[in-house]
Parts: sequence; structure tokens; C-alpha cells
Amino acid sequence: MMPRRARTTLSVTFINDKLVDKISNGTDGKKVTPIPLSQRGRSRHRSAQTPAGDNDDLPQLEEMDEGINDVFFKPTELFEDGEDPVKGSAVFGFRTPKKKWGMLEKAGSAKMLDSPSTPKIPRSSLKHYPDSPRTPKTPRSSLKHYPDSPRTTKIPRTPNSAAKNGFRTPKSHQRSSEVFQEVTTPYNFRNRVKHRIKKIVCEEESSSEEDSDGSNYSLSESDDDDDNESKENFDDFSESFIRTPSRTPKRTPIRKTLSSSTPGKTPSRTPGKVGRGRKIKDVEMVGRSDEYFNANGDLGKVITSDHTLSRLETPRLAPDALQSILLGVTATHQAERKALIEEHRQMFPRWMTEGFSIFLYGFGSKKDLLSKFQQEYLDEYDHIVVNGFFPSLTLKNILNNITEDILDQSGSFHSIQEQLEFIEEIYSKPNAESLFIIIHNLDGPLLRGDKTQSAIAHLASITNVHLLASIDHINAPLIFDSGKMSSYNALWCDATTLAPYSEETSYENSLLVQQSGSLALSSLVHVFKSLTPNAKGIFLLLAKHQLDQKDKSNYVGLSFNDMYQRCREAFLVNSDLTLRAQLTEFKDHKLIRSKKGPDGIKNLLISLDSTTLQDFISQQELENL
Amino acid sequence: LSGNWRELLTTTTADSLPLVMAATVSVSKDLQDSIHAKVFQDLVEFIRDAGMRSNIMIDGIKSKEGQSDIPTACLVTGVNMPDHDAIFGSLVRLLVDGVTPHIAKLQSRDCNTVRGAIFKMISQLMGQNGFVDPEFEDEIITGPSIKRAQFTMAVLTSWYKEIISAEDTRESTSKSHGSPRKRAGCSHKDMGSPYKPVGSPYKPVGSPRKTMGSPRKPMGSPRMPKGSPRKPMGFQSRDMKSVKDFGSPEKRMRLNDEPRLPRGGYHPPLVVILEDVENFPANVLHDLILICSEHRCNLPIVFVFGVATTSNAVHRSLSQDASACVAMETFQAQPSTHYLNHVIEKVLMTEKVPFHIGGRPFKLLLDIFLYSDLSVKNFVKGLKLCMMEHFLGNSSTFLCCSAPERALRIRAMTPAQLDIIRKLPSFRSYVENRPPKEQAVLLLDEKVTKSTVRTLMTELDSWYLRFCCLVKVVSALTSSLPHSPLGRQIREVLATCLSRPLVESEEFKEAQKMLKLMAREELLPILANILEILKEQSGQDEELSELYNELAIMLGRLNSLDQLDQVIKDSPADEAQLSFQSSDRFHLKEKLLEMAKKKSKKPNAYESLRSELLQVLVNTFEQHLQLLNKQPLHEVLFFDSSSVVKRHLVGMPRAALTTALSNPHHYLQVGTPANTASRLKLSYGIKENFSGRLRSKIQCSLGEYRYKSETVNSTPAELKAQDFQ
Repeated sequence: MMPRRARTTLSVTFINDKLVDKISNGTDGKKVTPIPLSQRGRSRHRSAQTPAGDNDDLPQLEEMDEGINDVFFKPTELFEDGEDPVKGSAVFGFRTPKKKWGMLEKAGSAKMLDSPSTPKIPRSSLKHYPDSPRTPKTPRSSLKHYPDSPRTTKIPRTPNSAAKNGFRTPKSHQRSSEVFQEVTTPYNFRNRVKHRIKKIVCEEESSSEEDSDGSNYSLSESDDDDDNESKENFDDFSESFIRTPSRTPKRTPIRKTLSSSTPGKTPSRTPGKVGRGRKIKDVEMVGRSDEYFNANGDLGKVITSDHTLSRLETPRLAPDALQSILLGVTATHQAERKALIEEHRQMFPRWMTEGFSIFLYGFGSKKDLLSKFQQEYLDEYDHIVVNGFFPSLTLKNILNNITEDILDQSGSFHSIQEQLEFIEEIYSKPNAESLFIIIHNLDGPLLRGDKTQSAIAHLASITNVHLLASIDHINAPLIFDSGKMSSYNALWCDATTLAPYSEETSYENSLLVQQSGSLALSSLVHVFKSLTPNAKGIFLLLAKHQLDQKDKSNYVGLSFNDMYQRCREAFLVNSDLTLRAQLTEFKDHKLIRSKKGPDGIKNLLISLDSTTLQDFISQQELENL
Repeated sequence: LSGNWRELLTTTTADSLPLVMAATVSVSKDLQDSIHAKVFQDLVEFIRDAGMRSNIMIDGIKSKEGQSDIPTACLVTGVNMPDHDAIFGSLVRLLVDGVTPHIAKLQSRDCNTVRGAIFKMISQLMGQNGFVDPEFEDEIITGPSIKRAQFTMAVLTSWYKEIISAEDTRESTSKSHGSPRKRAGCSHKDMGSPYKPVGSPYKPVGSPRKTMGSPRKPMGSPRMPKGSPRKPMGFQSRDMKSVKDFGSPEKRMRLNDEPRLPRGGYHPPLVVILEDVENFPANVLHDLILICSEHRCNLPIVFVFGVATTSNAVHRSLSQDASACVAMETFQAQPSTHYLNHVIEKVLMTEKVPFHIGGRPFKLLLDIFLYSDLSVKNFVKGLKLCMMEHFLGNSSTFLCCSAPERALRIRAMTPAQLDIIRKLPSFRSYVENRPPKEQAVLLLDEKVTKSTVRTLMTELDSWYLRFCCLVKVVSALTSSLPHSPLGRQIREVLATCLSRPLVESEEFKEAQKMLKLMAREELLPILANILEILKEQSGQDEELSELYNELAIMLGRLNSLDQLDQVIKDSPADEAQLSFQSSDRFHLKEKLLEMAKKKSKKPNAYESLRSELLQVLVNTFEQHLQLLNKQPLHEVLFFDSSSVVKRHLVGMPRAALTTALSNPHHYLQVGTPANTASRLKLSYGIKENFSGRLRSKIQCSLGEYRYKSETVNSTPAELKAQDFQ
């Protein structure tokens, strides 16, 4: 086992009886849901009845004459968990699959699924519960659930709660393990599982430091109590692990009833119209700032994956190759996606609502959806369509569009303000025609600016101007402050289509396509071939030096004097004039850049990224051999 | 536009939704004016007064002090930015009515440069004259047609001089009519000419004005310091004499010298309103103030700064020399919670707006208000959305209209509509509780159903009225309790009552405990307060008037307790004296404990009366403050689903993205096993090349991609082909 982390401390939070009841009733009565006691934020949102001291730091928003100490009004409705909400930690955190052999396990479990002879025991634990499609659990997390249980038993709660939870002592473990003797598990399989779990636990132990999503798992805490127990713990784990099959059926009905007991949750959504058998449930999320900071606040452990594309053998493809591969791909789930769009279409009449703007969010291109809406509803109205993702779009374009094309006003305007006022004057008349503005990607790169946003918000607040916009960037809501939001007067609509962003991204560079690098490499090779051997040597010298220095982030280039020295030593040049002439030629072909450093010395740099350069050099070496 | 969503509605509903919305909006707008009436009145007075003083200056008699100080009103509005537009809108309306037609309203988004700000200011100042004063149109015809480049302070000055002289000549010709500017529709008609400057009792000529514009008064009571001079406007003329004594000697002399000045020499000030001072670029603000102060001797400019935080913010952003030019006075606007309380009372707790809101959506709207923006505008927006959802989503809402209209509609109900009503769950359960004979009739006979619906609706109305009144009673009863278990505001009590039966709630039980220990001195004013609330309503409702009478009698008994008390009080005293004979300390202690027990057992007259009173109240609450879904036909008037509204008001783009990527079958709704799902995610992550989009998600996906390639040990191209198959 890894040495213990010194930082880990055991935190004890007092919770009242109701909470304990809620927790123990929330599950099937036997399994204790672990409460993330170590997380203050989470335990607060669990229920509004947390100790009053917990809420004291909430802002005092009541009338001035009110007392200081008491906060009465808890935002239960706004911040309460809906049924099965999306966890804030899942959204804010950066979830890298941390288990090394997660994929292997997945593959293994899939294999087991296929062969009927293998016992199906680990399937439910390694895979998703088939009946609970809404829990976005990675296999890792479902595995991790089980090691939790020993830990929860060791957390010293209030005596009261301990009594209520029926403290799972090792005795009870034994009892339950007896029950599981009935399940006939081949011994060798159990052994295998045991070993695997051991491995997992060890890994988790080492990686739980970087456990970004703040999941409840912290085995080390329990180990702090008693080191010697770890061996037993493993046995406990395997037992509780193997126990799962009998537990899963118990769990799933609960989930089922949970989801089926609330069909009337959206009663007014598309009334009277029969859509698909099952309506899409709303994605509920409780936006607590605490969770954001829990996930992102600790700057000490920045978790990003280093599994970047460049680590692959052929990290990038040529644009053509990528295109040809993509052409061969047939879109999956077409019927379902169509149904999804059909469902959104039923909301179209609602989008015509007077006085509100509509903001569409969700994954997938919403361009087609909006175009459909435009065709069906806006034919007889004035409307303009703005492609916010277009890289050279300006506010002036939008306004000119309105004034010139729709209002037939050819006169020029001194300023944007003036133009806005003109538009406002026309459209705020009570008998003015309606104008619809459709903006694909209100968060487009050139619409993000504060001034542009406030101008669009101003447009949207005019009486007879109606705005429909889509947003895609994950942080798009950050560009709206409360003032703009209220000018927009927007209603949010989930319009997930899962459609490809083909048009929106056509102006952007792909991660998979070789960028300027490929072009530069080919031209480099081309130019290089026409060089004299000496000149080739000079260039290679510079390139090799640059590659040696590639790990230095602040590498500015090789200074001219150094370069001269090195070239002389390699008998490539005999005077600095020849070198200068040579470098000028490189510069003319844009192979190198020279830059004056802070000390006034010219530094020479090849303007290529290190991978391309590496490719180039290895290619050259191959040719020379 | 409206035609389109009207297709969704039956014709009758289509009428009521805009009506209800319009009613809500108009009520909240009226409230806006009345809420801020006090501070607006102060502001208007301040501006008028400032205008008057600058007039004196311009007329040639230069006063020694304060030449370049621009009188500035700093209106602290609070952080609820979305509401501010409306606040300043009504301020402008008031000013145009009463003080001056020359108003410029500047917003930071128009004023990125000094040039733009000046242009905006001058064009508004000069333009509005033509708009407001059609009489003068021919004289200042040059005003709006001046080119942009010519908008300078010099132009403004000469324009203003022209106006003054024009006005003066008019004045002298039509002197007999009083002020020529007194227009019809002027709200201040009753106090005589609004331009009568001497009448203004407020004469802050004293030194404080010179202290560098620092706020002169504590924020809480911005305009209270002078006591008697600040009389209501109506009394102006009567108080004039006494008021004059407050002016500085210098000024009084001047007034005596020139008795004609008040009538002829008053010219409307130029009011420049900066809505969001904090947002202005500091240099623009600085230059604007300096420029205006340069022309102070010719133009009676008055600033009004709208400040969201504190007046200190202005000084912080201004340099010394600019802030020396403004003589600032702070006005505190009412906090928006106050406004909200009124909106709730006037819109939600009344029968005038037929639409009512249930517990959960109400709580949601309150939460959004208190925890995100404090903006009443957004609250009203949420309310509108609730109305829309209610009318669009519920076909029985054709009955949701004002009472007389409803009677007509019930009479005209078609069989189909009747069926809708009959299918309402609350109506069904009502029918089930009837005797079987009636059940059949109710379900089959059209006439009986109609009449039942009519009575039920009337009952529902009166129930809600009673409900609201009792909510106020509960609030009056419990708001002063320590720790206020039910909250101090009516809105909190209302939220509690709407979401669960009050008497059964924990909060009320706690409050009840404390009420049982309440002293008489505390209880009496509360009771009087409750009686007052009940008195307002008792005329309309029998049960409430019954309660009123009962409580009134109790109040009488409570008041007369003094005489009774002395009669009852003597017997226990003897016993106590007897017991003190025991010399043992232990015994004494026991005795005392016993006595204490005995005493507590026997409540005195006040205590018994108190518990009687509480019992009466609790019984009433139990009877009437029930959940609204126990009322038949509540679906017609009440909107009680928060999730739809929440989804639209609180956008959750992030959650939707996460769900779509990590759990796509939530949207696709296929019973996909996990493997397919992750494969889907992967293919999307790669296929859609979002370099800028969803970066973290991609990396996440790519991480898996990497794993997969490790596992399968194949080239990416192969892998892709495999994936996409």
C-alpha cells in the first residue's frame, strides 16, 4: 500500500436526525449512502434542514431593520434537488478517467456479456445498471461505490445516527456474506475479482489525491483509524462486491418507481399532442457555486490529461484523409435524433411568444432547427438571420442589414448608437411591423464583446423586435450580466439535437487535421532540396539546436553570434557575411524568424512546432543514410 | 405575432391572458410610482430648489458662494439594475410634469467618449423642449436641426438664453394668466405654479453645501435635517412667512429688494440624469462635470446621479477637482424588497387579478429574486411566464377571468368545455364526496353542473380572499417573535401557507410555543394590529367578521384584566408564608419546588385568556389555511408547477451539455447499454471538430480515446473505422 497522505484529515459533521432518516430511507434500508462529510458544500445542499449555523454566512437580503443573526428564507425551491438532478460536481469537475485499465475492464465485461457460460456477476458492477439510464456513471464510479461502505461505517457520527443506521459492524458483514454463499460463484473467478479489486484499491489510493469530482471515496480516511484493518477490508470489499447481484434488483425498482412516479412533471409541455411514448425529462441541475469551487478551487492539483493527440503515432491526418474517413461514416441513431428534433418542433409555437427572447442551448447544432422554425413560422414576417459563428461578423453588419435591407434606409449613420436609436424609434412604435432576429451562436467569437452584447440586448428589448438565439460555448452564459439578461428578457430552452456542428465549425481549424505544419513541412522540404550542402548544414544545425531546447518554455532562439561560432566550428561558413547572406535567404523563404531580444541581440528561430521539426530532421537523416 | 400563439388557445382564453398580463403590469407600474413617491418628491423639490438658486445667479446677482458647484442629487438605487430604467422613467415623467421640460437622460452605453456624452446631453436637452412645449415650437425651430458637429455648450447657452428671453416676453404679456407653463394634466396643479420658487421652503444656503460634495447627511434619513421647513407641498403658501426666516440673511434681503423675481425670473433648470454613474468611464464623467461647471454661471444645470452602491463610489471614481464641482446630496430609494412586498400584496394576494400562483412556483420566484438579482422586473417576468404556462397548458383556464365575465362564460359553456371541467381531478374528487344521487346529476345534467361550477368558483374566490387575509393575520401574529420561525415578511408566510397546511407545519408549532409565553404588553398591540387587518376584510366575508367580533371581545377582556387580577390574587400568599417555618435547607428547597409546581399548574386569568385566544386563532387557521389543492376547481385559477417555469427561467446549458455528452441516451432515448453510449460520445468528440468548443469535454473524450487505442492496440484510423461501424 502506498504511504498515507499526511493531509488527510477526518472531519466530523453533526447532522440532525431527520437528515439521518432521510439518508437511511433514501436507499433500500441496508446500504448506507455515504454522505460526503468532508465536503461542507455538499452537506449543506443535501437538505435545507442542516444546522442553522451552516447558513449563517448566506447573504443577508432582508429588510434593513431585521436582525442580524437569523436568516429565515432558505432557497429550497431554487436550489433543491429535483429528482435525479445532474450533479454539480459532475458538471464543473474535469473528469478524466483515472483508472488505468478501465477500458480493459469494460472490454472484458463486454466479452463476458457475450459468452453465456461465464457468470454474470461482475457485469452489473462493472457496467451501468441497464435500467438506470439517467445516471451518468462511469464504470469507475460504480466500482468505487463499493469500497465506500466500510468507510461509512467507521465515520463517527452522532451516537444517535449511528444507532439508527444500524452500524454495520464486521458481524453484520459476516451475516450478509452468508447470504451470498447462496450465489454460486466459481472460486477462481472470485479470486480474480478479489485481485482486481486489490489492484484497483491500490490505484485509487494513489490517485485519490487527484480525485476531482470530489466523489465520496476516501479509503485512506478509514485507514487512518486502523492500518491493520486494510487486509480485512479487502475481504470485505470482495464480499460486498460479489454481493451486488442480489442488491441490484433491489435498487433498480426504486429507480424505476422514481422515474415513473413523476410522469406529470411536465404536464403543460405540448399539451394535447402525442409525441413519443416517453417525453424527455428536463435536465435538472442545481447550480451551486460551492460545487464549482470544490471542483475547481484547489489550484494545487490541476488535473488535465496528458493524453494528447500528439502522443499518438499519427496524431493528425491530412484534411483529405479526414474528409474521406468522415464521408464513410454513417450517422448513428438517426431515428432517435429525428424524434428529438420532432419534439423540439412541437415547441415552435411557444417560441413565438410575445415579449420574450428565446435562448436555445444544448449539445448539437441548432442551426437546422432554427432554420426549420424560420421556414415554418417567419415567412410572412421581416426577419434576419445572423451567423454568429462567422469569423468576420461585426455588429455593424447586423445593424446595416436591418437598416438597409429591411428598412430601406440607405443613409449612413455616424455611430452605432445612432443607428440603434433609429431602429429603436421605428420598431417601438405600437403599430410597427414585427422584426425577428435569429442569431446562430450568440456566443460567436465576434459577438462576445461587451459592447456588441449590450447592443444586441438593446435591440432585443425593443418592443417589436424578437430575438431567437442559440448558444454553444460551455461558458456562454458568462457574457450576460444581469442588466443584459433583463434586456434580453430571455427564456431558456433545452434544444439538444446531437446534430453535427458541420457548418458552425467549418470556419474553425480541426484538431485532427494537420495544420499549417503540414504545409510548412512540405514547403520546407521543397526549399531544403534546392539548398547548397553548406546551407543545408546551417539549417540543420539551427534546427537541431532548437529541438534540444524544446523543453524550455522561454526559449527565444539562437543568437547570431553563437550561430556564427557553431557554423565556423562545423566549417560551414568562413565569414559572418556568408552566414548573413544565407540567413537572409532562409528569411525570404520564411523558414526562420529573427527577433531582437531584450539585450539587443538578434535571435534566430525556426517558426515550426517541435513535432514537425522532429519529423523533418528524422526524414533528413533517413535520406542521408 | 400574437395571432400565432392564439392558435393554441381557445378564443375565450386568448382574451384573458393579455388582460391578466396587462393588469399585472399596470399594477406593478403604478406601484413603482407610489413606492418611490416619497423619494421622488424630495428629489423634485431638490431640483426645483436648485434651479431657483441658479436662476438668481444667472440673473446677474452673483452670490459669493457656490458659483461653480453643480447641485447634484445622488439617488442610491440599489443593485437591482434591471429595475432602474423604470425608476428613472417615472422620475423623468414627474420632472416633466412639475419642474422642467429640459431633461437629458444619459446611459453609460451611449457615453463612451466625452464628445458622445455632450452630444447626447445637448441634443436631449434641446430636443425635448420642442417635444414637450408645442407652444414654443416656432421660436426654437433651430433646435433639432442643428448638425451634430454644432452641438456645443456655446450653442446650448445661446439657445437657453433665447428661451429665457422668449419666456420673459411671454411672461410680461400674459402675466394675468399666471404662469404660462402651467399645462393641463400637470399633476402639481394644486400647489400653484410649479415655477414659483420662493415658495419652496427648503433653503440649504448654509455652509454644508460647500463641503466638497461629500454626502451631507447620513444615508438612512437623507432629507430630514431641517425639520419644519420640509412641509408637505400643499402648505407652501401658508408657511411662507415662517419659512423665510430660515433663509440666510443675505438671501432674505435680496428677496425683499426684488419682489418680482419669483414670478418673472424663474427659468426651468436643465436636468442631466446619469443613470448608472458607476458604469461611466471615469474620464468622461470627469470632463462632463468640469465642462458643465464651466458653464454653470449661464446654465442652471442640475445633475442626478443614479448610484447602485453607495455615494462614495462617485467620489472614488472622480478626481479631486471634479468632485469639488459637485455639491452632492444623497437620496435613498426604497429597497426593492419593499417594492416586491407591495407587488405580491397587490397582484398575488388579491381577487382583482384572477390568476393565482401556487406554493412551489411562488417559492421559486422568490428564491430567484432574493438569491440572484433582487429585481422586481424579473419577478414580474417570471410571473408572466407562469401566467403563460397556466393559460397555454391548462384548457380549463377559460374560466380564469374576472367574476362578472366568468358568470357569462359559465352560462355560455359548451358541452366540450363542460367535459373539461368535469375531468378536473379536484372536481372529480368533489363529486365523489357527494351523495350518489347528486353525483349522477352533476355528471350528466348540464344545468346543475353549471350552477355548481358557479357556486364553487365563487366559493374559491372568497376562500382565497379569506386565505390571504389570514396569511396577513399570521404574519402580524408571528413576525415579532424571536427568531421569527415563520419569517418576518408576509411573503414568507404566504409561501409557507401555500405549500403546506400551516397548522401542521413545524414552523408554526414552534411559533405557537413562543406565543404561549407572550407577555400581555406584547400581545395587546399585536391583537390590535390583527383586528385592524380583519376590519378591512370583515365587510366582505362573514367568517372573518365573526372572527373579528370574537377577537374584539377578547381584546376588551384583556384590557379589563387589571381589575380582575387583584381579586383573584390573594390566597396562595398565606401558604407560602407557612412553609417558610421549616429550618432545614433541604426541606425548604423541596417545598419551594413543590410550590413552583403548584403555581405553574394554576394559570392566572391572563394566561387562560391567552390560551383561549390562541386556540381561537389556531382553530381558524386550521379551518381556512388549508392546502389549495383541497379546494375544488383550484386548477382553474392556480398555477402550481414549478419545474416548467424553472427550466425556462434558470437556464442550465452546462448541465444539458454534460448530460448530452456523458449520457446521450437521455436525449436519444434508446435503451443503449453503456458501451454504445461511450462509443457515441467518442465518435462525436472526434468527428465534430470543435477546437474552441467544449474543450474539457473533448479532452475527456480524447482521454478515453487514448485508452481505447491502447487497449485495442490499433492505429487511430482503424479504430475510427471500427467505431463508426
